Amino acid sequence: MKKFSSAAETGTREGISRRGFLKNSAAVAGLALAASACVPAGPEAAGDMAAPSEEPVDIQIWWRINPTTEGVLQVFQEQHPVITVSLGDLGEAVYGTPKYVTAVAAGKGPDVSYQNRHTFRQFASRNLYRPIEDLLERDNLDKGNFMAGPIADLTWQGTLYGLPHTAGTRYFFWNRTHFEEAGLDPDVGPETWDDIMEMAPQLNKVEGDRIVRYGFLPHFPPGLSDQLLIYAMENGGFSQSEDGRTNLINTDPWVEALEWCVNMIDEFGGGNAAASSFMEGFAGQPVDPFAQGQVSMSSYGNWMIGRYARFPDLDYDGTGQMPVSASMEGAQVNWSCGWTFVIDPNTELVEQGWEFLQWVISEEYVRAAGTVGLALEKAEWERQQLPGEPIFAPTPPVYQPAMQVMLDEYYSVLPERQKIMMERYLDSETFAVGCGEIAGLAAAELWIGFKNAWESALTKKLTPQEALDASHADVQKALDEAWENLESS
Amino acid sequence: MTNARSKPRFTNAAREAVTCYLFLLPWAIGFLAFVIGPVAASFVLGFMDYEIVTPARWVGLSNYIELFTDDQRFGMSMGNTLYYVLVFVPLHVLVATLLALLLNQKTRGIAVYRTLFYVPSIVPIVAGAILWVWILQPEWGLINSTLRSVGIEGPLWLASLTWSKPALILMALWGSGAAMIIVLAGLQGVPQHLYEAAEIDGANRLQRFQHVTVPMLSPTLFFILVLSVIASFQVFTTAYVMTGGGPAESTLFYMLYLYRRAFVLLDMGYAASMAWILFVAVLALTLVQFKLASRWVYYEAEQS
Repeated sequence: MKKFSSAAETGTREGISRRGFLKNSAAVAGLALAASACVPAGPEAAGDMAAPSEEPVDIQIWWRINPTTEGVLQVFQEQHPVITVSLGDLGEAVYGTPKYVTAVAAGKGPDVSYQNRHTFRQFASRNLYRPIEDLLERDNLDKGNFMAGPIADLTWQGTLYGLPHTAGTRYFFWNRTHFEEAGLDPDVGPETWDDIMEMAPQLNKVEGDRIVRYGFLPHFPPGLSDQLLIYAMENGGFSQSEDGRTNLINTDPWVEALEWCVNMIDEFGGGNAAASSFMEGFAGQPVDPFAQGQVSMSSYGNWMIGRYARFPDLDYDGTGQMPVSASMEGAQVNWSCGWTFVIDPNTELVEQGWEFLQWVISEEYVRAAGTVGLALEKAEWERQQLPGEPIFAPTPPVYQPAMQVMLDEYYSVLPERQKIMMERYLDSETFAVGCGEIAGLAAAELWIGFKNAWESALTKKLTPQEALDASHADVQKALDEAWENLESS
Repeated sequence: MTNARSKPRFTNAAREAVTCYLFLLPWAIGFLAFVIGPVAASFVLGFMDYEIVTPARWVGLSNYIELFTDDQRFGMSMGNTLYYVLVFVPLHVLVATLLALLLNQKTRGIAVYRTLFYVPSIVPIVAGAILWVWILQPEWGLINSTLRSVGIEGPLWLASLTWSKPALILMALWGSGAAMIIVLAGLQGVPQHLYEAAEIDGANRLQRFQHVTVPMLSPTLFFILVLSVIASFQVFTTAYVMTGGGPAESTLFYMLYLYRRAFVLLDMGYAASMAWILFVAVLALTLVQFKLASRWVYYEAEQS
């Protein structure tokens, strides 16, 4: 009987022919390939195995990979020794979530994933997320303890599909130093579009024939593609009918809002070429022109309240009460969006995933994220050699008990101005419309439609009416198809 | 009996064939599973309404009918792509050839120059794209700053409807080093005796270039041309990273639109039909190039 020889033996044996070597190698390669084809893929095998309760079960979470998430997951694992976490990056996810969608479609989605609410209803309606009503009911988690808007965003046909993690609204900032220089009251920002039109030229700074400081530019922040939405809302516009079947982005409030933006840039921004040239310089940069004192007023988001604190020369103020058009004077307008955690509809590790979801919205998470975040913020202040103590205003949670911890432990110790700004933000959440409600079932098309209309009108390729008509046609078509597919299935 | 015993069960040729096929097997399995399989699946999907997360539904030719009759972006993205192909490909071949001619000189330090011109082609495309976003920045980017220093106000580049495509073409030309190396190899393969014979016949430099270099280089140029056309029709990454298809869809190339339909709008059936249209268009164009090649490509072996 012929014995198999070890690799070392084979290598030292004399007289092995080239053909023999090739033949043996090919046979080994073929066998290895055949053998590997018979072995089930790793994750599936792990998922199929019913792990003993004492043994840690590994769940896969797609989130953001950064020092904060890694830090809080370490805390989670310390508090939950029976669950280990494999962290993966979610990839592109604000205006669509291709990595998650394709993974779930292939049955290889992560057990838990972070998702943005921009496109949530569209994907919930296509069963990309596991409904969680049963878990909520079993564990007596009261929806009333969450901000109402995000919960509404995550609810499709009466069923909740995820737990909201963070929220954020649009926020209007102004530079107090610039206001003082221009003889304006630094404690009062613009309340209407007319105020902006009056203040912007006073705040503009011109050197030769170039504007070196802009009072206000509507296409702020650089690179964002949904600016049009807030201006339309400030003029009484809404994206779709109440039943979610008719897109409304080519109606008068939208057209007037886009006209106002184009006019604003032409009249006080030196025209689109100059304004775009200026704004392009900041696209993709960590520092925006407001932080650098090159724009005096900006329409951005509440998450910048804390980040702007890193600029010691920037004396800023802001409000969640967005300036409105004359026809909307006195109205409270804003929209809210944010991040959410969901469970894969195909996962078998529902219990472990649910355990994580409950933790990540809770007070424990806020404390863990706060501890990690504050340490990172301190390190950043030291690195940048910023004066004074770090101003740390972490992203607000949506779960009210967690929010209370945030208020007590972090927002209460903020400097007075940032504290007031956070209060104004929280107030804006009470009247903001959720992005899920705004975007509906053709969300991906809608966000693309905003970008197309905005760029086409600003570059004068089309008039605002034509640009919005074109985007409306695209979105309405997608909306019709979405409803048709939904009803036929 | 004796004959049967002494006769090997397999001949040497058969053994070699089996060995060969066993070696080929891993590749063949991979090719079938990861190339032929998806290609065949995409052909079928082109006739279906398939949104990835819902079951596919047979719709016959309606994806193709919609593309040709009811989708302005199909024509627009194809137009943007054709612009890119028509401008980039000739420039690419020209730049690669000129660089190769320059770097074919016997000059001190020529290896360093060759390396310098080749290096951009091995820079990862996303890194290169981000670098070029900064170079093309209208306010303080390298190009406009240089232009401004000589009194010229540069365009908005990536933010301009007119200049966004030329900006991407400019960036792509920066990576002509790989083609340059191929042309350089072609140049160095031109037999020296042909130049000597032409010189004896009284040909000047230009005539030697026209009647010796160009014909001898034509198979190389044809090779680059074919590959460039195919690659240009598939332009995607630079537009995805640098402009996202904007401004106002002026850089929405065919592949970017296909990606958007497939992975953003989840319209996979429609995207599959787009892929097949592109395949047929590129195949047809390549066949035309091969047909026309006999008019200008010189193959020494055929002549002899």
